[in-house]
Amino acid sequence: MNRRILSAVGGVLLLGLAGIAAVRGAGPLPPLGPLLDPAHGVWATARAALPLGNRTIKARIFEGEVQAVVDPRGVPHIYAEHELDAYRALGYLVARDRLFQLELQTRAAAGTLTELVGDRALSADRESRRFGFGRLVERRLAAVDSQSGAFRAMTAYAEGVNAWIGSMRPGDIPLEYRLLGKTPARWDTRNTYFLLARMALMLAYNDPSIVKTRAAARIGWPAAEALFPVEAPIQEPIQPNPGDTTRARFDPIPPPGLPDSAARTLLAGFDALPRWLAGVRGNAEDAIGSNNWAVAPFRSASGRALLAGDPHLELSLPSIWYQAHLVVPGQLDVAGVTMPGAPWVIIGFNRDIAWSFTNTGADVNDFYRETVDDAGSPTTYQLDGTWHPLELRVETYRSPAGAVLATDTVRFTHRGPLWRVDGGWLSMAWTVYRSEMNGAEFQAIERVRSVPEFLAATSGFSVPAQNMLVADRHGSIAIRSTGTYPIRPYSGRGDVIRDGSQSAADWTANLPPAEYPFAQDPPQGFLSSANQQPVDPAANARYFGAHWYSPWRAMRINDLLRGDPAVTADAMRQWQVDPGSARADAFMPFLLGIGMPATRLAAAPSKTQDARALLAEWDRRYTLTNTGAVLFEAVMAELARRTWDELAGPDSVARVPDEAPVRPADALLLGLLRQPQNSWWDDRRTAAAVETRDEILEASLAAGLDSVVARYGAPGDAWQWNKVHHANINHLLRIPALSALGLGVAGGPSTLSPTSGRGTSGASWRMVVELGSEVRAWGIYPGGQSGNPVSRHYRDQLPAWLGGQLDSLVVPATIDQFPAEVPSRLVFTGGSR
Amino acid sequence: MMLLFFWLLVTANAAGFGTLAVGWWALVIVAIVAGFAAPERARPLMAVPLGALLGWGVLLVRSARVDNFSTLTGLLDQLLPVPSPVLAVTTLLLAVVLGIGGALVGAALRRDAPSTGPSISAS
Repeated sequence: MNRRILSAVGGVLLLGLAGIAAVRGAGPLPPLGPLLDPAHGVWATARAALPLGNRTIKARIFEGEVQAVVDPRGVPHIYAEHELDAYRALGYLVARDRLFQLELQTRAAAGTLTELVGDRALSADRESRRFGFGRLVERRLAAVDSQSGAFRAMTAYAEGVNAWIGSMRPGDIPLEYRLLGKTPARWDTRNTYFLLARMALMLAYNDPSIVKTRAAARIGWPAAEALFPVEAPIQEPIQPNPGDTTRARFDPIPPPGLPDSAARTLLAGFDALPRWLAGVRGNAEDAIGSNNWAVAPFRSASGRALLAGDPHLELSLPSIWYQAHLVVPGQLDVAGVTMPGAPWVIIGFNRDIAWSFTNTGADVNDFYRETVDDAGSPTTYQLDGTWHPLELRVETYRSPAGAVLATDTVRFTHRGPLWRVDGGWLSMAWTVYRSEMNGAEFQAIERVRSVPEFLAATSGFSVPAQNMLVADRHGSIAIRSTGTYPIRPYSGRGDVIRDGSQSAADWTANLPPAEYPFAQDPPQGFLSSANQQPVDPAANARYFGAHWYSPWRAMRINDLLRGDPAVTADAMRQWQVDPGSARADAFMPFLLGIGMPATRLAAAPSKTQDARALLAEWDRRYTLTNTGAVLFEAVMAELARRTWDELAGPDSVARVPDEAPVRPADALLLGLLRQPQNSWWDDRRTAAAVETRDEILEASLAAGLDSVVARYGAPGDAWQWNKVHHANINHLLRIPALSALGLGVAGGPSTLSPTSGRGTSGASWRMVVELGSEVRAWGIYPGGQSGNPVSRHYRDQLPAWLGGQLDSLVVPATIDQFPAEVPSRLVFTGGSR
Repeated sequence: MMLLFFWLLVTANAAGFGTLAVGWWALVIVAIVAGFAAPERARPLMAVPLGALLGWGVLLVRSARVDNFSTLTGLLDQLLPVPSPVLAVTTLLLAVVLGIGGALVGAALRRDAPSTGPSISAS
């Protein structure tokens, strides 16, 4: 009897211990049961990565039959009888390929990451919720027309996603969930709104008032105004100037003045804003930028209109994009890239038109200094002499188990969320908060058949404001900087922080679409954009923003287009990775001392002369094996650091102690180089001396050479660009094993395929389309269709992307045009409802 | 010996198909039931864990026969604190431990169990 009891106790103990490890995990390992399950656990990830094969998928959501082919690139081609069925099938297939991404990016926008990964995401969630997206989405859903086409498309897509979630086997659960010990949540239509809000945050937040105030806190307002101007010194506008001319005007830059005390007080409080918001854009020229251009038939070799587009975004694995082709006979035949989580092709083409976007970078948000009743915990704010209640919203952050981790109270004025800073409280007005943000324009674009139809379909598009480029098969091309632009009172400018106690400071209206920067079928036969100032203030003085990107990429694109009277699709492909740099072309003469007296050049320190000799041999190209680009970039970094030293100093937002937290665009530095005696050249860290431009140039050259030699040794192969500069494509969870890191890549700061800094941004999608009786298209992105790291489609497009190649995008109008052998052939059917 | 082999196969099949059908915890149920049902002469404390080992081993081999399995093991080597062969051994060890625990509990639940109870060392 004793042995029997002992056996029972031993069995229970053994099962208990093994059960705990199986259910709750052991040490650093997640729960061992679901992880090690040989049929459905981590071992099944390889099987889940296989193509779906030929199968019929029955789900009640489908109204009719949908046929789909997944091609050898992993791209689904969906042929549906009903439009909503096409979106359902798309949702199903996106979920099959990108389920973890769908949930993670939505949670990032909604500020609910802690519910998936725990308290390590608390600060990120707090930042997200302070933008008030939860409130925004609730309001949009409360006001939504549930019969609108866009909402029905979102709903159908959600049904498709949930059909996959409902039908998937345990072995289909993505690897990331296994590592986190979690299971996927069901998809809700509201997630698409969160996704659109996240896109808006990424692209439509560009307030120059903070940058300028930070500068004024160090150098006073006159110098800050000059260094972060409304008018970019080089005008290569999106709406071309008459005669397609480039205009440059380098005004004298006033000397650095005394710090502005009010700005200084406010500056201290900027730490209270979300970190990246407080340092908005900062020094990151090109960090997120894009290119697009189109060529009219009379300038193309084929006599057909051509369009190219490459949006540059934060790169990730899996990609931010998902390729798809949707066909509904008589209604829809569209291909391109969708965003996982939204049912529409965002950038792409149909049989009649092709389109692509770049970000305008317009100033569409403003800050207001508010007067509140209680500096510590306000409940009302003053407007026109009366107190108005603040809208309070309690945000609760929960752990994966549902426990409350923290709570916040987020306050809102009629303008938007209210943030505490040391100097008081700032509220933010933003076009995003006024936007319908329902995706209707994306849905309309998919079925547009001409440029005029495109312009009409997009006239109501609000955020994020985009330079929308379109070409049609009739040979028309057009570009319009489309989006909501607020009309402001007083000076009309938004690059200042305003007093919020008066309603007169509020925006008065939105700019009508007829006044957007625009061009159609220009005489030069091409159009382009690259995030530069959209219209020359000499042609249209209306305020669209300030502190614009320098137009280096636009200048390079236009140079290439002007120089080729017979453009081909392949030339456009090559230009997307063109290694030339208008920035290098502009700065090199100054670095080489062209125009300097020979005696000065000869008397320069030997190290300066060595650097000049090395740079003189550089071809100004950022090719993979180029050994000159690394020195140029080092010298430019030294030059900027020594020139803008007055902007540097202790600042909690600055990543590097002696780096200026905000830095003028390089075009301003170019202008300063034309002012050799300007007091900005004095390096204030050398109190005993007053430096001139030439001394700073010489010191920068020597220091740049020193830094490169110290890091990479003597000039030689170790200086090759692909060895010193890399693209780094992180997995969504930043897990190195699932990322593609240290990729040698051509292109550098301000080239058409820009990579800079940490190399984590770049061309997220490259597309070239030729429009004629038959549409021909090519495209690539740095990753692959599948989010399963074991799948051959996880990063199969990466080598071609690195090599500047494009895949041919085959888009048969009917499913019987596919060869018999395809990786997957699927039939979706509904059955009885 | 034949009886042990018989119960080993029964357990292996039940563990394999059960896991395939509903998941890892099917093994626990199978082990308890087998421990309960197998006669003492079948030496359930040997037959059940070995059956569990065999059942999960076959499933593991099935998973490993997929073309891109080496990609998976390469990834797991980088992702987890233990190399993938150790993870595979751990998987099989988990089957054995769950099998022994379940068999012990099952045997203890038998009303007609002898007072001496099952013995691993029985020969």
